[in-house]
Amino acid sequence: MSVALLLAFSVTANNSLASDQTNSPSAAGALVTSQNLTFVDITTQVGLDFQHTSDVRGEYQLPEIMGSGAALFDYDNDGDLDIYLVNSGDGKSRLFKQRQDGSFADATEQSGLIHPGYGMGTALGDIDNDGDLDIFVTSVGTDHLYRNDGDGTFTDVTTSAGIDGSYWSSSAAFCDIDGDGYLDLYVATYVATDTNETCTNNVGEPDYCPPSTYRGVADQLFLNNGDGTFKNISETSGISLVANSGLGVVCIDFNGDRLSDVLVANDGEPNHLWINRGDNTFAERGLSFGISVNLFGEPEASMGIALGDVDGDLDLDVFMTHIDQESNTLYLSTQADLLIDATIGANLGYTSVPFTGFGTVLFDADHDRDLDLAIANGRVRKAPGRKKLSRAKEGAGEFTSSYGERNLMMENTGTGEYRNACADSNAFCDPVEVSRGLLAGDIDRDGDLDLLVTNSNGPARLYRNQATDRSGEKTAWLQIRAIDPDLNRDAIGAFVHVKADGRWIVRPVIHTMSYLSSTDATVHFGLGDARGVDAVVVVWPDGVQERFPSMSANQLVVIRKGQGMVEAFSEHER
Amino acid sequence: MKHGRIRWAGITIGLMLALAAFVARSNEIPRIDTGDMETRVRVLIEETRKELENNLDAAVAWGQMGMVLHAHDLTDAALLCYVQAIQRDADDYRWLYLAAVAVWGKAPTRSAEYFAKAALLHPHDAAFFIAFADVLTRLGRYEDAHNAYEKARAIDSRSSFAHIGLARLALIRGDVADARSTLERVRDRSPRLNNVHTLLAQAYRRLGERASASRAEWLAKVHNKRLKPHSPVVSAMASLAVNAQAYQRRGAQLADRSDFAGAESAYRQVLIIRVGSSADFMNLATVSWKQGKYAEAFEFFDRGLGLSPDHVGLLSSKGRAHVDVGQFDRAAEMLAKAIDADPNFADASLNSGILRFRQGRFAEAVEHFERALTLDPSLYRVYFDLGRAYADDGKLESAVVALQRLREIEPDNELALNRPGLLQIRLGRYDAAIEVLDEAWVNNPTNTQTTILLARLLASAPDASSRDAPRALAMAMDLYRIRSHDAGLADLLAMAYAANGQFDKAIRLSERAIEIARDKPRLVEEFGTHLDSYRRNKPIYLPSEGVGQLMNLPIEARAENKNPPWP
Repeated sequence: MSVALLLAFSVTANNSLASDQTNSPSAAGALVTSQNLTFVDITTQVGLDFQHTSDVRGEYQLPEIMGSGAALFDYDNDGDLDIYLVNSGDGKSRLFKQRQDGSFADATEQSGLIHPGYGMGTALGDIDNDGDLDIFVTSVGTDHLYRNDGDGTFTDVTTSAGIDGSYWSSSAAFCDIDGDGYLDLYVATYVATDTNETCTNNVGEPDYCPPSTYRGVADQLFLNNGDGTFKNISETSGISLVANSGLGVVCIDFNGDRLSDVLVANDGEPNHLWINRGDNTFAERGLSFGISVNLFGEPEASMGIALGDVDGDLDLDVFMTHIDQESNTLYLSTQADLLIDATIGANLGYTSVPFTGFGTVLFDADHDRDLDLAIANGRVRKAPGRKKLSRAKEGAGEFTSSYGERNLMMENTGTGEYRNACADSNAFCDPVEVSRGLLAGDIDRDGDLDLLVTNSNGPARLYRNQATDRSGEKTAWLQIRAIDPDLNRDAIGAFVHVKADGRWIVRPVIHTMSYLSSTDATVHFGLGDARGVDAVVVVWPDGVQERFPSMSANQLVVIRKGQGMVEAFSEHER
Repeated sequence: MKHGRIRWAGITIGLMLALAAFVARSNEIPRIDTGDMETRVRVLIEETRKELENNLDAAVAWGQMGMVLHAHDLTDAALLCYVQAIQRDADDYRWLYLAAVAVWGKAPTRSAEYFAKAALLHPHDAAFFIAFADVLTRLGRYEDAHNAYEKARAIDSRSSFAHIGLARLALIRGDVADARSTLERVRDRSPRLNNVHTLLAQAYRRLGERASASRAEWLAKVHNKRLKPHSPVVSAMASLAVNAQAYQRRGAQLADRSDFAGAESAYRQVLIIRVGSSADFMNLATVSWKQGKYAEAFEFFDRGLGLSPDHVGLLSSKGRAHVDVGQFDRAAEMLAKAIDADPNFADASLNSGILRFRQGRFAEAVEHFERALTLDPSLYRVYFDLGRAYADDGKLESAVVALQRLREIEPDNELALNRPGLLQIRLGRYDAAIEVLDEAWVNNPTNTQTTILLARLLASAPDASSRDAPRALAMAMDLYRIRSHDAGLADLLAMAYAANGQFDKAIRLSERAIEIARDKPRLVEEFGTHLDSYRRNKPIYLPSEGVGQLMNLPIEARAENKNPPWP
């Protein structure tokens, strides 16, 4: 061994600044890996040609760093998932139609889904119960509601629907607040940028201001009147009495009273859990439900939200992404109305401390019946030593090098812990980009869930899951689309349970999750080596429980309310 | 053969260690590109570097370099310096401590290692062990975390943070009842700590005590400022920062402590370093106004509004400053603009309430105060203003409720204790008044206001069973002994003597009161009626229907929580 080599070794040994765990394959190599989570980047292959831009001009305007989201839905009802990608600034938002061969074609102009503003996020929902998905696009400025006309085109109905207001809205969610069968709209708003602020980092270099520099803005709630119009009940519902910097939103029943509640991820402030009182008013109860702050009583810079039953106890757990120096946080539901920060025990704490997480999904990536995690990362504070962003067009490249990070994928080991799965030939973790939106959906219709990532000032990326390519392994799956033929057509707020090999699995039916993003309401179950499910029980949003017969694996099944047997889902079965 | 391998391996390792030590003692100072940095930061780094270059063998010089870099968030480079400092002085726990803090965001387990090494040096710093325990908790090393919290408690038995950490560990292991009792003890001692309420809310919820959970949740929203244990080592490091953001933070900290002159000084540094933003001007305007420097304050307000004409915070604060100087129309204009721009901005509602109160429009003031409290429960001291507004609007019962709310939030707030006493007197409920004032007196026997009120009531309550003339006399004598030139106290002592049947002394003290108050005709007249009564051997008793004019505290006292003068 040469002296030079010894010197090199000793420097590393004493002064290494490397993270304890990174998501690089080499670092994760020491961990127990199952090599199960394999994703490949098929963006170019399928012709998904989209470049996000947020008008980076070296002025460090906060919206530039927050990115834009996406929607994953079958807008033309031809049986496959299409993609809507939101853009900001000079860039145009784009609708990509999936062709039969799995490639994508830009259908923006033909569809009329031409969003004029500085776009942020999407909310999908069938607002008129006509069987197709309408889309709400949030913006810095005026939001827009586009009605799906059912013939592959959209009409901007913002004004006629009565969606008013101009603010910086982020994520939004459609759900049935008042139980009338029509989807209402919750819009999370971020901060007011009506001030002239410039910020610097701790050495005085220009950087994006933290949200605390600005005034939080009260969220908005619109009640669907059922006639194509909405009524703004933000004030009377109590929602607008608290102004915070909201980013992520999910809408689901958190306390078992069959009413849709709303969880809002607030950036740098306590999260809000708006409990629906049943009279179109809400009480904010995040603290006593345990989800406002982490185990240390600290509010965190919450960005995205993932929802799912992580520990298999048939209650919904919540995962939230945060800024670097904070960990992401897993809140496990232990009773109907109590969530406990279980991040540390699940090994999701310090692994995430070096990263700034935004979009996130809980999904069964490897079909082993438990929920794995994908997290889209990207800084909001400049990496040390990076130069000031220039005013030139090349600013986008500087932007990515200053703020880019690798994404993170964590596999649920089934033992209450997660392991870093970035080592598993996982292209999802490779690019160093400023990732923001993230969605899971079966884009190639092979039964497993693929991933769509949006990047701020970068390309959208599509990652194909190769779970079902593993011949002879435990790769069975089932997808269920629950439909209410009368009202709330996509059964938003329902819970679908399946029983496979004597064990129940539950998935919630929601459109909006993650960060600035929304997807169709099909639920996905990995079934391991089961040939099918013995039973399916749907708890519809109105509380009616309906049992459907056994189903074989590896298919997409559409089930309709009223066609099953109305039968209680007894506790002992769980 | 095998032994030979071991020997060679040993020699190799020995060589490596020796070389490692040699390299660790190398004198390479981390290179920092200071090109885009603020001038002060660049100069400080360069000067510290020069100092270090002249003292490369000194641990302190390396540590100082590390702290300067660390204070400006250059943590990678700071860590390299700390490592060099550690190599040169392994007995100084500060470098290990700061290395642990610096590396947390990148390598949490490495952070714990540094902490552990520092702990072996037995630092007598509770904040160190709390930080260590927090890191261990985050790493899931609960047993070690427990020991570190216990160590912190051993160093400082009253450390709320150590107890909170132990309670958190109890929550993690499922011992919720234990967590609750620990947290309740901390809450009783430190009722303004935010995270004791957040954790209590969860503990109560897990125990099924929903009412208590709701109350804890409310108190967490009320006391929403999160405090951290004070660490002299980390504070010393942070104080080295000379960038604009650091001065801004310093200004905010000083303003929080009501050191407005100090805050102004820090905020002015910000303007020297960079072109001011609307927020920078608002900061300066606010601390100038708080010092009564209205001309400067208005200038800064206008400069801020020149940059951001719709800045709600600037509009609201400027409106408040106009209230102070009696420019009510200008104040109303500013505040209306602020509320129009954002109806949910609590501060604008609060300031509008103060304006209406000053204008004598008490019912409107109540509306604004109520709205401010709804929008932002952390403005809880507005409950005092609300009480005043209700009282002056003649709604004494509502005033009592408002003050009771304040007392719930701040059990030790003297205003919340003695003001309800005044209101009960106005309502003619003397027993209730005595009860609440007695509690206030027990809480703080040195509060002159409370003592005077209680002594008067004990001497002059209309119902004989409520009176305690000997106690009233003892209290009045104590007060008069300290302030014998005070006409009010002379009158009080006269009243107490009369209540005890000692009319000669009552007459003498009453005459003394009149003499002291000779320039104040209203008092002379009032004391004269008392003197007449004593000359007829009759004590003074309060009217059974209650008395008025007792809530005349200047509204500004709200924040300062000062005691009012005797009415």
